[in-house]
Amino acid sequence: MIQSGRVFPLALILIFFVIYLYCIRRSLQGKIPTIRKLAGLDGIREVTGRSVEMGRPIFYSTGTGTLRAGADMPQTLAGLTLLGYVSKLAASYKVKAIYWAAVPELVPLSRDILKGTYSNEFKDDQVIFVPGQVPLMAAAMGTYEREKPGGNFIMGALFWETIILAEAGARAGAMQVGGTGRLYQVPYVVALCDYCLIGEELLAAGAYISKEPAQLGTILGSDIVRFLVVGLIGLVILGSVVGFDVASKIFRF
Amino acid sequence: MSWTTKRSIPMAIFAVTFLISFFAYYLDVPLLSSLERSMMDWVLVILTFAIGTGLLNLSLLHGRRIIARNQRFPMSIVIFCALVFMFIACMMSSADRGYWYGYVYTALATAMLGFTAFYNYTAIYRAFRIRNLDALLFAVAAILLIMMYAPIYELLWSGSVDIANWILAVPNLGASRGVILGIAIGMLALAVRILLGYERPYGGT
Repeated sequence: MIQSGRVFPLALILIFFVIYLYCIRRSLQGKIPTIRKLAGLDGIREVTGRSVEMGRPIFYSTGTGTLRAGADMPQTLAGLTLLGYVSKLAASYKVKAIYWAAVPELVPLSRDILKGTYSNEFKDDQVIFVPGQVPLMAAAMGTYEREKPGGNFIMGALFWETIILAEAGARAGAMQVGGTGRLYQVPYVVALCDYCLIGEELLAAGAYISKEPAQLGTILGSDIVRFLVVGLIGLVILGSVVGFDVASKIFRF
Repeated sequence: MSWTTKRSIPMAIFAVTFLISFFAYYLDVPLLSSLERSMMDWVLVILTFAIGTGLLNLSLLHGRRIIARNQRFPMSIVIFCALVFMFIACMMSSADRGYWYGYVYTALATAMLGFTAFYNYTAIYRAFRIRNLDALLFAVAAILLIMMYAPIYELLWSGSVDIANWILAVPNLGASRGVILGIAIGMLALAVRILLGYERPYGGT
């Protein structure tokens, strides 16, 4: 019934799921975990405030990551969650937030998010469809030079467009927040943005900004899972010391 | 559409498709595999509709700019004409599609990528401004890696290659694996939050 070699991974993932459910329940019962401050997420308010003072628009991009590729999807979804938060802040301060949709399936989603936050003040030109990586880079370079945005957000599964979006924003004098879990783009985000979210920080952003007990519970669950994974790595090391191949005999069972 | 429906329908679709994909990967059940394959076909159908909405967005945006004759309307005319032209060319024959895509779009895209080199230079300048200890370490590691890939530095000082290789194989690899591990765990937590309806990236703000 279970595919060969996937028994142990399935068992492990089900154990992890139970851990998450336990942590959510614990959190809902009032034992809410405290999580460290994430400067990148606290910086969103500062960047939005700066745009208000300057009277400039905010630009937001989730890069060219899609909702179809397995590794990109969670990061793009995290980027969309943050788009909701950023646009909510921007709408409350009457600042225009503009979203670059480089992937077609993000057009209806982003429109829905922005319509939800801006209500009647939503304008069609707040979502700009730029089909592909090169059009996104070209459009961003020109638009940033002309419009001089007050804030630039680049958060999601980012590819080669990162350097252009971030550098064009920096040249235009925008304050920037970047975040990605794609390792090759992390250096650009760190070097060029004022605030950055690296790897898991981006994925935990939804929980951090919502402050909902259940969501914060999953952060505690992640920490427990992390300890278990580190323990398993230790087991592999110990096994290799005593001559027992844990990885092939147990992990691939 | 009421707020409850707007929230519950996407959540239900996510939960069903997620569980089918999840169990199709782990379990050897032909029905699940066939359902997963059908879902993949549906993804293509939905994507095609999404491209339609994207084109509609593009047409409306630039159409309105042309009608309003605002400051940037000449550029909108170019985009609008290119859009219509490519659509007609692609509908006529596949040979035309290859010609216009290969000789016009690819050439323009290559020129665009060449232009980004200048952005790289200024980005490097920005990255190498040493403001604190982290930035210093960042700059030193980057300089050593640049030296590793330029053969002339090996002639001048062979030790640079050894140090750069050590940076890549030890601290860089260790940190990368740590970040990858964190991302994997973060993805799991995000999947749990979305599956249970706590996090709503789709319009549930």
